[in-house]
Amino acid sequence: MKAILETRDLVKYYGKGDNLVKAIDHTDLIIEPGEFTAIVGRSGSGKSTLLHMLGGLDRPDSGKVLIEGRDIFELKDEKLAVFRRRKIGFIFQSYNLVPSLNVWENIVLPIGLDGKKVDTEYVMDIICRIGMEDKLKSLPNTLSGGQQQRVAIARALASRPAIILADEPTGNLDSKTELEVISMLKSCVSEYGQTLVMITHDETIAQMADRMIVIEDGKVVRA
Amino acid sequence: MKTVTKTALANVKQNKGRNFLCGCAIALTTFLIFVVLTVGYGMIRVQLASVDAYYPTYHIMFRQVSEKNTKALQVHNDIEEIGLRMDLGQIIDDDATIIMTAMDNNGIRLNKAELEEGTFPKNEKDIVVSKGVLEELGIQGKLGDEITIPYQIYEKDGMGYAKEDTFRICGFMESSDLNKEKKMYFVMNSMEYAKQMIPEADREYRVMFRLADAEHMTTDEIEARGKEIGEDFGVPEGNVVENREYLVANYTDPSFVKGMIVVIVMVVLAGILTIYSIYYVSMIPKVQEYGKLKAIGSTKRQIRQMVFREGMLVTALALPVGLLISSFLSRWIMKQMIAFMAGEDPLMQVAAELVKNGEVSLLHWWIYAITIMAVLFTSAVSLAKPMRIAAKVSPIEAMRYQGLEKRGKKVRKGYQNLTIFRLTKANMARNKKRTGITIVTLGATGILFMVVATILSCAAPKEIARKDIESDYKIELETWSGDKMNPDRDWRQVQQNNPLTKAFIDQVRDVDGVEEVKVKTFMNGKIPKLSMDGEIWDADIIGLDASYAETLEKGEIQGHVTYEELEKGDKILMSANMVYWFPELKVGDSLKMVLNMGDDQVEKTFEIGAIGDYYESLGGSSFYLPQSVLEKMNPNNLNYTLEITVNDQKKNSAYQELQALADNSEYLVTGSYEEQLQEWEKNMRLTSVLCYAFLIILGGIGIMNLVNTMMNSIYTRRRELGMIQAIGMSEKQLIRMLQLEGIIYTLGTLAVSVGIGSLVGYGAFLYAKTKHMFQISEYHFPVVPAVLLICVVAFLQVLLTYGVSANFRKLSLIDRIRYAE
Repeated sequence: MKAILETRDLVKYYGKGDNLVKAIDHTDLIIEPGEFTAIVGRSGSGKSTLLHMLGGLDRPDSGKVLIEGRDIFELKDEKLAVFRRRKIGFIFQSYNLVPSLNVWENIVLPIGLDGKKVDTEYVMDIICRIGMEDKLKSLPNTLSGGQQQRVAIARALASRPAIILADEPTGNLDSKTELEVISMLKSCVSEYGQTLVMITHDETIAQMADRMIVIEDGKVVRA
Repeated sequence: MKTVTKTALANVKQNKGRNFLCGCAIALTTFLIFVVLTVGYGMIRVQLASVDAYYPTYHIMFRQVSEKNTKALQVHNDIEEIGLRMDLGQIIDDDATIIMTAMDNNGIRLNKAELEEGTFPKNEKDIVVSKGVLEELGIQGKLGDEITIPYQIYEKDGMGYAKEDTFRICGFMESSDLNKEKKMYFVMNSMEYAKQMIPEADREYRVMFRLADAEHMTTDEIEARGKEIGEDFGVPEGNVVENREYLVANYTDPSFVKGMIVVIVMVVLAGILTIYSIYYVSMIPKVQEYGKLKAIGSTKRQIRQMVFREGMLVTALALPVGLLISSFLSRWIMKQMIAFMAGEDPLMQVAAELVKNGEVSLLHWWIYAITIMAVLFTSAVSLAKPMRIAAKVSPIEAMRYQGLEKRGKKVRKGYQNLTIFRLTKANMARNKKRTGITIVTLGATGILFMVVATILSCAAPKEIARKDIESDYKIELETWSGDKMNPDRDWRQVQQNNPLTKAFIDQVRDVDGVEEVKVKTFMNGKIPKLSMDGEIWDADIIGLDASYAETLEKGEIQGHVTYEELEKGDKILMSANMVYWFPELKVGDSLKMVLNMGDDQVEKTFEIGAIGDYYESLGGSSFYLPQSVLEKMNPNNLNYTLEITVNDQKKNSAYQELQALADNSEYLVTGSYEEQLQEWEKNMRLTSVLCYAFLIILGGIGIMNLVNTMMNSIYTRRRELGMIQAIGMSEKQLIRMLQLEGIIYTLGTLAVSVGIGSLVGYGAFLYAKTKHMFQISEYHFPVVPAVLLICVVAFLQVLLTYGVSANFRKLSLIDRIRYAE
């Protein structure tokens, strides 16, 4: 099968001299469509930097990130932003909902930014899956952590991206909610045929993935 | 140093941006308060000093005081300083009046008498003359020369027999153009000589004095006290003369002080609003920090102190800067203002000289003290709320802090589809209070700007000049009454020997370029029924020909009477000014007048036919009647004013000829529309420059606020914006969103400034109109200032949006997302 996401000799260093941090050190990765990949590693091992590179949020010092065979860093910032909103959905640890928008508006925000009409049926389907259909008009500050993260997941899914990148999506949740959210995320992704790359340092969650990549000091030690 | 102060100091450095803006606002506030105080007080002082230098300095003068009473007055408790003058006689001359007078040293000082050369009389036979006197007498002389002069002494019942005496010239005084024109001169003898010539029983002094403790008295109080003392010594009220110019310049003007206080209060309010808003807005991102400080054990009081000391440290830095700048600039501003006002006003020229030579000190310790106190007060009040907010933060809440909005609202209706515009709107709505405060602060300056601009635009010099003078050129009689020295100036006398004869008017008509000459007549008298402050009110009636019929009717505001009805002679048209003084007067009331007919008087009762509001140009009189009515009552020549219309091309030559004609009689004065226009243009220019300069600085304070709000609204949302970018907002969209925010601020500010400003401006116009301020009568929307305001505000917003977003884009996307994590 052709890889949907691929890195080639990816390098990103921070700092200089004694302070040099090799966040990503010549990393090669291949992720296939529909795969649920967990990236595991200790704090400071370079997981988040790798995820940011995969999503095109940050530019590498050298090397390439290919999405569906296309080098995303050849795109100018403007094009990259458009590419990102069409191909990639992000889920962050701290939910990051826009506080002035209600649940529905937060979910359809990426579609709006892309200037597209909302496919109401599709979005409502996702909302029903995450069980937030009666909270559409609520503002984020009235929701619990788990609810907020579910909205963030729905937001990532709403624009039908090919790839979902999640940075410790359950880091702020209790263990019961954590499992709920992950199973929901997993089922959604397989339902809509999307590829999921998730950072975690929780072994239990990593076990739920199809594949586990372990990172240490910016290098892939086990794929 | 204590920990709290140390932390505050560290915060000053950390919040550089905000504190810089705050500092600017504080420095500007300082500047404004200081300059308003310095220039305001400076103007009073300079005026006072120039009046002191120009006018006699006595408060009150009594005429015809006997030797005995003079001695008693000299030891009077309420009198601080007393000077004497005695007129002893007149020098005999064919056509000029030359009065011999004598003054003691105090009198010389209180009268500001000055010599061109020499000294005042020291020896008995010393005399001070003027070149004009010598010319009149046809004798030559220089200092030290002896001259022999024939004269008559004033006696109880007139003038005595001619005498002759020889005097030594000890000094020369100036003889002015006025002396020459009126052929009236003075010479000064010694007091000893005067006393020797006039027996004690016949002596009549003019006693000039300054009251003790007058600093705390108003003009009216000084006058009243003067009259009281006069009464005690049997001086009739007519012989009590107050030194008006001097008193007015020295012992008023409470309204000026009030005006200054209003301005300062306005500045302080603008300062408070701005500094408060800067702190309030930038407190949001700091809340977590204060929460952490609380978590590690700071008390509420300590947090409050931290915020307070941070603010005060900034004030301590900005205040001296503001004081330094304003100290240097205020002398310059003062000089410019006085130079601008000086023109031909001799008093202002004296003032300009005084300021130039640094004889009036402008910088006073108490101005510094008031400014410092006002600014500290401004800072302290501005900090009160931010201090409370910071102290109220609970450590737990702070860690999860999302913004300052209350948790009141739980749901939002929202939109089905989102666009950048809707996103922006949602964000602005979230920060309603912050958005509101900014818009109101900025708008408040805008409103003020529009009000001032409206008044200034309504005060169009051309219009005003037209309201002051009806025609192009005016020749008018100059008469006054109650002057014993110049009884010939009384209108009762002039009308019997009026230089505005038919022949004169024909001469005026014959001047090349004169197109039309209208004559206004005048009659005066008293209205026994009406009095103000014990004085019976004057009845001034202007007589107008039929060409004014329409003007008269148009101006009627109460009742209605036609020119034809007025011609019958029973009804009279009354000016609205009368209602101002006597609100009880109504249309239909009867008024009995005692009118002067040369030396005789005639009683006549009129019914008030209507009340009209007219411009100065019509004559500025209390009553108006058709000329025919006046003619029927009074056979004398009542011509008073000639309104002359001149062909535009021939103005220069015609004006010269007209002036020459008028110069033939000392009773005639002239005026032209152009002179009037120039006068007003000069006045309005200074007023406009001052007003706009003040508003620009006030606007500057407001702009600090805008910069801060824009910066904060972006920086506090760094992470949120980064996150929205991560899920697909492009840089272009981000900038568009920020620009949209800017536009909303702009539109809001402009709606408040121009919208409310125009309404308030119209109100101000109505007020100015009823109060006859600047002779305003017609409303002119200030188009140019309004367009200028719109352009400047819009330009500033665009500039700011670009500046702030360029700065923001320097942060990488990752930095934005990471912020605060």
